[in-house]
Amino acid sequence: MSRPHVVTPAELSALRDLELVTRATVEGLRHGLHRSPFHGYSAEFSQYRHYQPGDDLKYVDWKALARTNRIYTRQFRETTNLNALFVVDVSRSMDYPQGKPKGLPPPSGGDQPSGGDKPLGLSKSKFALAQAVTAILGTLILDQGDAAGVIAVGDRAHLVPARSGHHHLRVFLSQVAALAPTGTAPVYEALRRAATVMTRRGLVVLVSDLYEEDRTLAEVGRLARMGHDVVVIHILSREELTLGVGGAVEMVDLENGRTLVVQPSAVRASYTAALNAWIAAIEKTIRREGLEYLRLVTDEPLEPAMRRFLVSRRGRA
Amino acid sequence: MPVTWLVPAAFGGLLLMAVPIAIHLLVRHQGKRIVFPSLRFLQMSRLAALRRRTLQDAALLVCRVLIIAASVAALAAPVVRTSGRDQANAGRVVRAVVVAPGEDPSTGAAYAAGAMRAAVFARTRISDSIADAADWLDEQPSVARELVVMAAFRRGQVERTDFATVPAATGIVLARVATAMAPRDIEVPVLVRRGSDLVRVVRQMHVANDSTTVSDGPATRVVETPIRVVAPAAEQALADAALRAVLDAGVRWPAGTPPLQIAWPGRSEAGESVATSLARAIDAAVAAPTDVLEPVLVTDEELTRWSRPPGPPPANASPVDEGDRRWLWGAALALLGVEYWLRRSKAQDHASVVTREEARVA
Repeated sequence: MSRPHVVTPAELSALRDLELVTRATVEGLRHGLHRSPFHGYSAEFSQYRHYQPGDDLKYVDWKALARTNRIYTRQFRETTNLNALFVVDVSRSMDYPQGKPKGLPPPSGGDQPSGGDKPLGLSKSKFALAQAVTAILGTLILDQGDAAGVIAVGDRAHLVPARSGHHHLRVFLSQVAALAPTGTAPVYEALRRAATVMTRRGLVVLVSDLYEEDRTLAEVGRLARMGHDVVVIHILSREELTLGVGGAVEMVDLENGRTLVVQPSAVRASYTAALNAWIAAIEKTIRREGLEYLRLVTDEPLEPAMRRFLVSRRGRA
Repeated sequence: MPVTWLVPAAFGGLLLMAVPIAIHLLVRHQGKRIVFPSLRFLQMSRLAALRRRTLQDAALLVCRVLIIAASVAALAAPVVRTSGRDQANAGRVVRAVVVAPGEDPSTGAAYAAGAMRAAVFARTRISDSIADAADWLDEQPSVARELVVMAAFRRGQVERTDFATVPAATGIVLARVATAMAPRDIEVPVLVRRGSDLVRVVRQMHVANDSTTVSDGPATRVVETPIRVVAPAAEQALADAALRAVLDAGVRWPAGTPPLQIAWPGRSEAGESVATSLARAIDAAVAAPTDVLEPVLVTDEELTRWSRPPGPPPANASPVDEGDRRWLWGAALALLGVEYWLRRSKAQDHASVVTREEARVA
């Protein structure tokens, strides 16, 4: 008999904060969506309907096309719920900016959005943003009766199996709130485990800064080839994008502790060029696989970005 | 093993160790250290990296501090004192060799050879050479000290007062060198009576190092006796007899000497004969030089009295520099090599990281 999980006051406080902001955002999102962007899978044929641009070609009835010279897509009756598994990157690089940013002045120039509102009122760290996104999408999925779980591999593996029901929402949120970016294992380890956990087709949402992109994207492609619907949410901070640091500084790599002395003004141009090329390459790779890519930046308002993403996803459904 | 530092003031140079430490701390303090998700897109700012790399690394700092410490210790001239070295130190002597003018300075080499340190002094006056030698000895390590004077020791050449500047603990060795005088011929005009005639003879004297040969030259007759002794009437006869005795023996009489009137010197209290007294008086009146014939040397007994052995070195004397500092200089050089290697390996490491990252970004 397993020991019941004892929630510490700090965890409870974090959970309440997460629940509060998640619920507010979810309500706002649901208000404008009317129809859920997440659907389950079914094997039982329901009806034909005319093909509309954007429909998945795999549901096109080619025989009907040959007979009638019209394109029909097959629709199936939903017999299974959506199983969604959130893969959260808990590597140390997600722990940025840490609390009060150490020695990091606010980025200068026009890169800072005029609103300047913090995402969800939480701290500006990438990991907090990842937690918020996971909680929001998980709540949306659980609220519509589907199953949601979360997996993260840091110092040890954290797994909340995908289950449905409102009673599971609290468990889901508490586990998301309990995650901490202290892991040493790369996120593709979590993806590898997700592939073994997801026994039937479902939705895999990767929330990561993708600094181990080679093997991570390889795992993402493998999940896609297994039939899973994969969404990659790329989390970045404003300071990462602009190298908003002044004066000569010694930078410490959060992942491996390596240090490098840099004069940001001297390397900013090359840094931003390299970073943008890297981001573009990642997005291109993911979209080439037919997967969805969403980039979120810590200091940008979360709700509009999420709304745009969900609307575009609903359009694909 | 006790160590004596011959130049302890050099340890003031240890303050220089504070320089790399201070710079290290200053740079550490001033340099902002921030965390960043990933450094893969960052190219090193080489100037800043160089500035930090020079002193930031702890190993480099330790190495540089040790280089300064070793150099300062070497400058402080350490001497490791062993019983063998102390014994050898007690038997050492520093020797100043004074060579009289006219002598060959290389003759002092025999005395200089056995000394720990030696110097030869040969000025135009021996007293000046002795003063210089005393000053030089005073600057030497505290071992036995000895002053050697090599001279013929003619009268007037060296006086005992010349050694007053020499400290009592300094030994004095007086080595007489055989002054080989060149044989010479001297002509001494003499007024002498031969028979009943009074003649002026140029007497030929051949003065050699070991003999003197006297021969008379041609004689010139003197008509009238050019010397008159003025004496009280009671002693006039005695005075005339004494004059005759003097002229029989002969008296120096250079050419052109005017006729003389000599006051009767009377009897001498020293007991010499009246003739001797009269001859001395005539000789003084003629003012002929008295020392042109041959040198008069300081006797060996006097030289022995002036000599003395060197005193023992003082108990608190510093040991002699044995060159132990060379090991510290060697250590400093080795540390310099290590420091260079550390800097080089660090630079290569840095460059490889940058290259790898650049390749990865590309």
